[in-house]
Amino acid sequence: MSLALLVVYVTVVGVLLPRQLSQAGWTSHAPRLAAGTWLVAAASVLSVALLAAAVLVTSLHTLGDAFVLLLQGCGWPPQLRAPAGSSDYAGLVIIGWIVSRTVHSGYLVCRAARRERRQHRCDLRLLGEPAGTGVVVLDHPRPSAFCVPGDGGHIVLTRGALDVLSPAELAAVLAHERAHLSGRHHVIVLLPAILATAFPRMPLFTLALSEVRRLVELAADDKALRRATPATLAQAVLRLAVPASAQHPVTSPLNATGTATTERVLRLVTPRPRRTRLAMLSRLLVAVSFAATPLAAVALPAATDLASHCTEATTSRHLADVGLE
Amino acid sequence: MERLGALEAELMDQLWAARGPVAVRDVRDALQSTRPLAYTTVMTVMDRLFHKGWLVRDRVGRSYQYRPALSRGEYTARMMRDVLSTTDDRGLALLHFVDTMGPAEYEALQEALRWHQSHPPRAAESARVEDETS
Repeated sequence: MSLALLVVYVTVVGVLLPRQLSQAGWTSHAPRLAAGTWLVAAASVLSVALLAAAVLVTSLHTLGDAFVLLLQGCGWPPQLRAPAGSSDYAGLVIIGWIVSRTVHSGYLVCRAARRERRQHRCDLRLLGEPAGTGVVVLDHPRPSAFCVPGDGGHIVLTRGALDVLSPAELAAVLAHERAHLSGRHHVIVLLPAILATAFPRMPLFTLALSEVRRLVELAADDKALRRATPATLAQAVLRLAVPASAQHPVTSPLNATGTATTERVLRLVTPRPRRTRLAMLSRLLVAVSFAATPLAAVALPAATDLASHCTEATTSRHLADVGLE
Repeated sequence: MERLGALEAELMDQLWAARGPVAVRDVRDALQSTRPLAYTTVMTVMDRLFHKGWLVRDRVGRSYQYRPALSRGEYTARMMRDVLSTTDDRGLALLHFVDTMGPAEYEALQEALRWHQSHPPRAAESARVEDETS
């Protein structure tokens, strides 16, 4: 029964909800809350999947007992036993599979990002020209701006970018990139990236990656708006998004990144819909409930006899000890 | 590690500034006024740069003559190609300000932006809403 509920939860939040959430309009107006919701939902599905596998090994009530006992510091619960049946082993294999895949892809993804960053930093030291704190200029005609996190973080501007940006637009670009660095957006993107690499078939994880990427850009825009007007920032986006070459045939005017940039620019120049506190509060509650579900699933069955736990467990252990001696 | 990177950059600057193949001694002499270094240090770093592919060398007599494998501009172009070709799975190392877009979309957005700029009241209003919500 509890196993079925957990599996239903993983299916609904992992497969059905992502499409809803990625199409919801409010995410663009509250990018940080939306990114938080994606991350919490991903973590929630991962832990509930682990929990469902654990239920194959032992009952939810026993798990809850063990959880509460560990939380109360009563030591390792006596109810846990060595695996016996085939479902025990199936549960352990699933747990092992989930954990090892997550850890392995975490290692691969982090190592690749770190290597690439080290390479870029090395290149920048050789080719870049320092211009102000943390800002490096590359002598290249193509207008472009990006930041390389790590080691204090560097903002890179090309000579081409400096040529096309007005001072106000340049300030907007720098504010946007500083928001990326100070907000540790590369770490925020890393979490769904690890899960999407580990479980590429899970819609929640793959959509979380693309959505969180989009949302951190919007969050950085929001922060940059403290230093620049929306029109200036929008103009800066357009100046640096200029097509590489006008002669190139248009492959697809509605590709994914393209529509994301369009949405980003239009979001800056059109007035935002007023968001009501009630709506935001209810969305916050949804995010919190994602986080609370795995905890509640474990704790609730055991919470009924929470008070008697420690005494029961310790007395039974004392009795067992006495019996042994 | 960090210091050597800075030193490598300094030596590469010298080699790019030089107008032809140079020997280790030439580089050391050129750096003498700003940064006095031991001959062996310069030699080690240049050897490293050779093995990393930044320099090529020819044996002349008993020593090597070094020159950059590519010009500074060529290296910059290569780095920018790497940076811009960053696709979804590789793009975790850095964050772009914006991706480049197709000409049609660019035109449409340029048009939209011009329209919004010619309607200042709405733009001002959006700025105000922005302030209130942030």
